[in-house]
Amino acid sequence: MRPMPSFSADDRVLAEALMLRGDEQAFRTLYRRHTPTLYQMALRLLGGSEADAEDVVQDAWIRATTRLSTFRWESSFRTWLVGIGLNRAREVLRRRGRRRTIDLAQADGHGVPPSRDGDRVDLERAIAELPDGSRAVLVLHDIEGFTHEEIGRRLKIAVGTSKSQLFAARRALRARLEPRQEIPDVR
Amino acid sequence: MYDDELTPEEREALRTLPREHRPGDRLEERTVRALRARGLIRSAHPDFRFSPAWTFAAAAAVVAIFTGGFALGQWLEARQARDALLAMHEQDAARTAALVQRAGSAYVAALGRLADLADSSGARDLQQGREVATNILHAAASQLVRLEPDEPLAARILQGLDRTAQRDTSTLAAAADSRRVIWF
Repeated sequence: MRPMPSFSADDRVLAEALMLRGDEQAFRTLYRRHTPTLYQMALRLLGGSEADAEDVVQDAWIRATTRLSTFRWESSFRTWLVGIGLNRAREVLRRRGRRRTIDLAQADGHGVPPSRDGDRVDLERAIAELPDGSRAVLVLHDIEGFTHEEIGRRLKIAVGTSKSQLFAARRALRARLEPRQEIPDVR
Repeated sequence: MYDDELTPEEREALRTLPREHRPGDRLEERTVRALRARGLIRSAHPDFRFSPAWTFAAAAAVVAIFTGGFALGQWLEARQARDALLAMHEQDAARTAALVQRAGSAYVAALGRLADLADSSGARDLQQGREVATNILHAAASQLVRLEPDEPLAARILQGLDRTAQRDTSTLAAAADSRRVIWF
């Protein structure tokens, strides 16, 4: 996984204030510091569904706060929190099954980060349109920097499955981003 | 088997995708409420916000309290003044005599306190107090003479105060004249 900026010292102080005193301000500081990363990852994993991504973020924070006393600070707080969010996102994807719940054509670009960069919007949209399983692997491997072994553990799939999903995701992504062949006008 | 590597352009395109996306503020409040409901966080100021409506209500309450207090003070003061006037002008002689007694006691007590402070107070303040007390004594003696024209004590007090006042005035005039001579 790609190295994260280290906030561990401050995070630990805040987390202890939250755990020992239920300090609301400490929680809000942690929330504002780490939620944008968590939310962006959840939004991509879930294909741009803001409602699902918000549920994942809220549930991840509730679970993290509940289990704070079990965190041993062997990784950064953000890595731990993102892991919890990833588990929650996996549960959402599993519930969805093969069914696509988001029709991006009808969503008016909802959930796709606004940008004046057309290529980037196209790429975000193409990622969102991938099947849930292969999109999750592509997001974790090619964007978040997870290894296949980490993905296998996080998503509870075999390493080979992770590799084959990535292969399929990349091919589908290229197909979506390729310029369409213009049909010559023969009239 | 799956040796489908990304091209440098693809890698760059994925690398430049944003890593953060801030959700709306409602999510933060929603999450805080959920944690509070589970007893996981405690608020120092539970459910308190300085909303515009709250600020307006507080300002209105302050104005109302101030106005009410001011009006109450005015009413009490007016009532006391009214009582005194009623005692003087409308009540019977017995109640008026009692009012004279209370006022006289206050007068004597105040003069006694002034005498106690003679050593520690400034000469100017003491002089001012003495003049006020003498003027009141003179006015009181005048009223006593009105009340009982044949009563000798009040008449003598009045005469004595008048003589003293005339002497003081002459002394002050002489002193002023002498200062004028010196200066001119």
